Amino acid sequence: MSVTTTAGKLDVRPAARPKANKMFNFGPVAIGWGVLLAIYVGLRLYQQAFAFEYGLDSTTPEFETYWVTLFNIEIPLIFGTGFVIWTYLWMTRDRNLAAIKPEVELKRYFNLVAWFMLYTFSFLWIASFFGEGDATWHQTVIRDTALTPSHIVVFYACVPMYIVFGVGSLLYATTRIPAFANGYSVPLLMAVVGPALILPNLGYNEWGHAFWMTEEIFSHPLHWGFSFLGWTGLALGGVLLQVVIRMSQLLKQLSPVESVRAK
Amino acid sequence: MNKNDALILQSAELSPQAAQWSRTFDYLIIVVGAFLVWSVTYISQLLLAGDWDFFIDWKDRQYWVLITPTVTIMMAAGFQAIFWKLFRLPIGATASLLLFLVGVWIVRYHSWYGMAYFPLSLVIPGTCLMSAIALDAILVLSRSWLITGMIGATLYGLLFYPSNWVAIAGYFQPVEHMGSMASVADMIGYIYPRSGTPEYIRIIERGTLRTFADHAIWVSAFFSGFVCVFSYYIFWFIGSFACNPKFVAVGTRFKSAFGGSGKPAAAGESA
Repeated sequence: MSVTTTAGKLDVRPAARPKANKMFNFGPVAIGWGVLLAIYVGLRLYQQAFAFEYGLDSTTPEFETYWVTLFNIEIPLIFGTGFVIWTYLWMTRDRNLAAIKPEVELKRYFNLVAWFMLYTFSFLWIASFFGEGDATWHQTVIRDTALTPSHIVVFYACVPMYIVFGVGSLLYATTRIPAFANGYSVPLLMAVVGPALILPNLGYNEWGHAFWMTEEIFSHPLHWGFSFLGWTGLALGGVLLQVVIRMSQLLKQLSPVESVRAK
Repeated sequence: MNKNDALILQSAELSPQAAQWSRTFDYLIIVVGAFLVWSVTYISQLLLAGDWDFFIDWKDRQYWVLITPTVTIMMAAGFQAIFWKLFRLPIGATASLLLFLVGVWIVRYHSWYGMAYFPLSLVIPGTCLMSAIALDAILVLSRSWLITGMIGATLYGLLFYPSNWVAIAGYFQPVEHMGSMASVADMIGYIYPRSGTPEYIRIIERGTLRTFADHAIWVSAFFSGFVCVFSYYIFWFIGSFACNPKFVAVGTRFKSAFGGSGKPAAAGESA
């Protein structure tokens, strides 16, 4: 569609249809969501099948077989995969960001948002579904170990999973986008490091549960660290603002004058 | 594309292709925003006030009415600040509490009922949706966070109990149990034991004063509105701080390692 305002009259003529949108490829995001969904649903079904069956007493051989084995597999698998992804992002970094073209930069902003789509999706599962699911377990079973069937899923599968995507988002931005390579993005650091600190915060949580016989009140101060660190997710709003500001500049740069001005 | 669209593009100085990319970006941001709002609201409420929302017999007139609005308004205010300041959209509070409510029902069904076999009548959630709509409505009418904090946050606390009353009233019908008066909600709690929650924790309301012509609930609701004002202001500022697009200067070594320009950036430089 071309637009002209010659002699004050708006002329709206059909123009060549824009080329297919190649800026954003939904495929990798869809695959990522699909894989994550399969993992989360698989873990939930595993809980349904074996949590109450073999997860009530951590001293039994069945607990060792069904739950400790899962724990021993998931931690190296998830962090190992994360390490491979992070290493790939680092090794393939752009070493001359000053020379990239606006099209490439814009495409990388779209890719960064794709990373956020995976990051927020993976965070949702611990913050909501498996997070509150943990309450159902603790309201039913008095814990005799930190590695309950619920914790093995929520803390040691779901938390490492979103850390992989959070750190991946941070690495993608700092190694491929000029603005993020030339300065620390405060909101991006907050949005990635804050939720990642939920993993070490488990030390506080488990220390308290190990030495105090607390009633299972979910709102106990022992759990407040999770909420405080979850609030840092708000900073993703600041990151999106950084992205929007630069993208709007790039979009104008990529709009040929003749396509938007009167001829 | 109609004439109006064409004029908008012309004034925005965007080519149709760029406009298409911009629209694609809008959709992606909506998805990221929805996941973000949903998860952050959830984790905040879950571990600060979750118990009162979990169980029907915790929905008392002393602490539930006070604590739940005080906690849920935190992320409502934070996201309201982000949505309003960045996009001029008065939907932050409503989006926050609506997505939270959707998530809560999914979890109540799949985890509480589906995994641990809690009866749904025991784990029916409350809602802050009406309070959130009022908060957003006051913001869009006043266009002022100061007035929204004073009027909207007070309304947020005051509306919480009435907006839940229709759903939970049936659970508070009196029944006689072993010679004492209890409510239907209490009976559900007595019959379905929770090993992690000893009985004595749920003995509340030791006070004897019955003000406002015996309607003690309004004392709690009024106090809740008062606390919500402070909660709102604190989290409005936290939300405002969080959406600050600040870059901090880094050394040339960092920049060259990451492929940057190598020139030092000024502190606070924005993209």
